[in-house]
Parts: sequence; C-alpha cells; structure tokens
Amino acid sequence: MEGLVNAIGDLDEETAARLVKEMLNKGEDPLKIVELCRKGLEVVGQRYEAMEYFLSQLVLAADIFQKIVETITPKMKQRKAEIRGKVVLGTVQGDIHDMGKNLVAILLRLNGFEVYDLGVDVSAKAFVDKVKATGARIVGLSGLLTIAWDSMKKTVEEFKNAGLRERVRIMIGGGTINDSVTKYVGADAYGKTTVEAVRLATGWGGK
Amino acid sequence: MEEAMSPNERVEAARSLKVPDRVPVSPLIDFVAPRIAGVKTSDFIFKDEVTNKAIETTFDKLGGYDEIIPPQMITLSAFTLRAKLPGRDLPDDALMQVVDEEIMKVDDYDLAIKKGLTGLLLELLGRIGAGQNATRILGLGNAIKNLRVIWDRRNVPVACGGPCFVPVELFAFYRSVQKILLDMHRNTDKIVKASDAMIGESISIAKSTCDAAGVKTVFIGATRTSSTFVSPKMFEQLSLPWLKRIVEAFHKIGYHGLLHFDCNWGLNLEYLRQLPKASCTLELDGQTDIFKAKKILGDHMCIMGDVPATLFRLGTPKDIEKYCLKLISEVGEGGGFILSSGCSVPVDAKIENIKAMIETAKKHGAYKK
Repeated sequence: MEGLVNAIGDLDEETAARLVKEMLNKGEDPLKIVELCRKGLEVVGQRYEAMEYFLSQLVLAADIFQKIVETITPKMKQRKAEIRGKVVLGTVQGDIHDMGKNLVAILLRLNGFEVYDLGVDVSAKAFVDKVKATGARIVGLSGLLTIAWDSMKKTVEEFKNAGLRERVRIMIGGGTINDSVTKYVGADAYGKTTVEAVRLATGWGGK
Repeated sequence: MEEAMSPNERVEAARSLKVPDRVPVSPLIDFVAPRIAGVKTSDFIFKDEVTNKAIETTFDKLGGYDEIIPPQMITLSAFTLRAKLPGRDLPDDALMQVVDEEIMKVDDYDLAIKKGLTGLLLELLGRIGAGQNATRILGLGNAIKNLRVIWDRRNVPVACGGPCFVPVELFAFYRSVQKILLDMHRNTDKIVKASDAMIGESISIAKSTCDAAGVKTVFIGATRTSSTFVSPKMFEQLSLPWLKRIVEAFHKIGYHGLLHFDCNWGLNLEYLRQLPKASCTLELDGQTDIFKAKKILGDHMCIMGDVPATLFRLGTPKDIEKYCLKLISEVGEGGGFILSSGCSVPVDAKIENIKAMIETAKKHGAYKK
C-alpha cells in the first residue's frame, strides 16, 4: 500500500501503474486505490511547497493520477468517492488565459471537489446562473490580464445583486493578482499558486 | 535641462555595465499605445505605419524616454500563433490574446529533427491557417527597420532587431503549456535532439532579421523554463545549453542579447553567469526578485525592469515614484540598470503613472560624478 503512495510521490509512473494493476488483480477496492493515490498527491503537494518540485511535476502527478483513474473507472461500478464540495470555476469575461484555471480544476478534482469549469471569457451572469443551478458554495475567478480585474469586480457585484454574495466564497487567481487586487475586486481571497487555491477551497469546505 | 548623454549613449553605457549620466528609462509600450495615440488596436497590429506613428505619438505624449522596444516583437504572435485578434474575432479596440492549445503534436519533434526550424514552422503555420502570414513574418526585420529609421533621426535607440528563441521555449508556444511540461519529463531526448537540429538555423534566421532591421541586438524571450514552471535542473538540461549557444554566437559578432525573461527566474539567476560578461540585458517582469538579480548578476549583465502591472493600474504616481526610487538606488547602483515596466505597460495603466516612472528616472536617476 505504501508502495503506491511512494510511487506517486516520487512520480514513478511505471511502478505506480504496475502496483495499481496488481492491486486490481488481487481484488482491491478501487476507492482504496484512489485514496492511496490522493495520499501520494499530498506528498507531491508538500514537495512542491518545499520547492523540491515545480509546476511541471504537479502537472505530471495529475496526469499519472488521471491515467490511473481511467484504468480503474470500469471497476468502480456505481460507487462514487465522497465529494468535498462544489466549485464553479472560470476565466472571466474579456480574458481567455486558462492555464492556471485548468490546473486548479485538475487539482481540485483530484482533491475530491466537484468542479464546474465554465471555460474562458465567462460572463458575470454565467457564474451566477451556474451557482444557482448547482448550489456550489465556492467560486473561482481566473484572469491573467489587468483588464480581467474589472470583470472579476463585476462578477462579485453580480453575486451581490443576486443576493448570493453571503452564500458563496469567492477566490481569484492569475499572474497579476495580489492583495490590493483582491480588495479592489471584492473577493474573499486569492491563490498565489494552484496549490494555494486548493488549500483555500479545502479550508472553506464548500458543502 | 541639457543632459550629458544622448539616449543612445545612455543605454549603451548601461548595457556595457558602465555608469551613464543617469538611469535610462525604457517602458515596454505596446498595446497601451493605441489607447494613448487614439488609434484602433486592430490597425496597430496590422498596419505598420499606424504602429510606428502610434509609438511616436505615445513617446511625445509621455514626455520622451530613452529606448524604443519594438511592439512588432509582441504583435508578431498575431501572425505566428493561434490568437483572438481585434478587428477579426474581437472588437477593434480589444486586446489580442493567444490561444494556448496543442497545435504541435508529440510526433512533430521528429519533424523538427528532420526538417529544422523552417520545416516545422511552415507545417505549424499551415495547421493554424496562417501560411499566408509567412511574408509578414519574414518581413519582420524590414518592419523594425522602418521603425528604426524614425528613431535614428531622434537619436533614440531601438532595443532589438529580431527574435531568437531557445527551441524548447518555441515548442512551448505550439505544444500548449500542459503538454510541454509533460514533454519535459517524458520526451526529454526528443526535445534535446530537436533543439540541436534547429539551433543553427534559429541563430542564422535571427541574425538575418537583426541585419534587415539594422539593430545589433537579438530578442531572446523565455518563460516556460523559468522556476515558475520547471526545476533549475530541468532548465539546465533543456534550456541553458541552447541559450548559451545563442548568446555566445551573437556575442562573438558583437551583438547584444535582450533576455526578455517573464515569470520567476529566481533559482536560475546563478546559471546566467555562464553567459559572457556584458553580453546581455536581463529584462524582468516583476515576478523575479530584481534586487536578488542585482546581487547575483549586477557585475555581470545589465538588468532591466520591473515596475509591476498592478502598480501601473491601481497605484498612484507617488507609489510609482517610491518603487522607482528603490529600483534606482538599489538596482541602479554602480550602473548596469535600465528602468522599465515589468513586461508590457498594461493597456489600462493610468497615464500619470507611466509619466511618473519616466519622470522619476529623469529627476532622480542621475549618477554622482
């Protein structure tokens, strides 16, 4: 069991794939395998924070995990892992940069969140409509350009106008974002890195 | 007030690690220019005469500065990458945005190995339906020459002639960020072979572009091999050897390198000491600690930067002045520094903030004799 956690933590794809295969052959519960993978990803996250790993290793870890999930999904039957919370995510109107947003979506999913990724150039109304439709309690607004800040601000306003501002926690992220932008936009917090975004969502719970 | 040096002399002194009369100031003006000059962003991208006139108008409205960074270096991506463009996909005054998607497939490293840079680029341009832009791309040197001719008359230098990318950075544009990061782990050998296959041609095309422009500085842009994305070890393995080849090749013939390095290069700064002394200017965008860069590289290469976009947009002229004074006193110490914006001045920057940056250099940037 520890072997799989270590293999994921060490980004050793071959060993991880072999161990998963062996565990499945032995009839191991697929959800148990997912759980071990998540533990391995926690190791990856810790090494990233300690600057032993970099973004490319996070992307690689996510890819390894996704491949494992693809392997075990047919064996999962109807059972579903527990959902930590729901997050509505998107790059705000006027901006189409989606690298950071995509990575946050991947990492949130890996950490047990149900993510509604609205894509890029998303209107304020579309964010609000999705929250109404899904009951999500966390919203992630992404944008790289400075012009995205006004769209973020507008989106926060839209939640206020819809009477939903108190119900949702809003995080923002993107290359130019800092505390003063967060204040300008009226968001609750910003994630400087993808891992920080996940930590924010985990802290908020989102149920 | 009469200044002791011309902008040309001032920038040259800073680049060669000497002490100019004062700190040169060179904001990266691209998409903010159409707004200041009152022209359509679409025309600014597609019509060279509009580009060049807008840059001149902006320069005059801002009170003048020491160096022109050719906006063509930035607008080039409108012709070489899949992008959403004003006047075509977006309103006339919208900002151009590059779409990050997988245009180049993993097998295309073999194409690069077999057919080199030109073969690869022609194939990729064809895939995004940009084959007809080849003339425009090949004409980049001439476009910058037209810009230079204007600025020669005013004795203001143009910062660079043609671009030369470290191959892995070029692959990143076409592979998408996610794929290139995976490739750097899984297809290391292919990247190395393709980089070797392309480097000579990359250098010779860049030299031709610089020569057509009549500017002896090569623009070397990099971001995906910074420590924002990959480990220093990976930078050392997949980027540094070809960066050295580019810089050394140009240095040997007396050309300068403008290292336009976006994102955080903090952990890689030490490596840059391997480049020949005074061969480059390192242009930082605010994500690398520029004060640390000065400590590590200050005696080795000129440093340029890095007033952040956030400050231009949300700060006041006082905030800008305060930050610029810190840059001037710390990074400017002993010369070898060009005060600039951290990457492009944002399109929605407050004009008084851009002016504050320029004026701070002029009023408070003088070196004591």
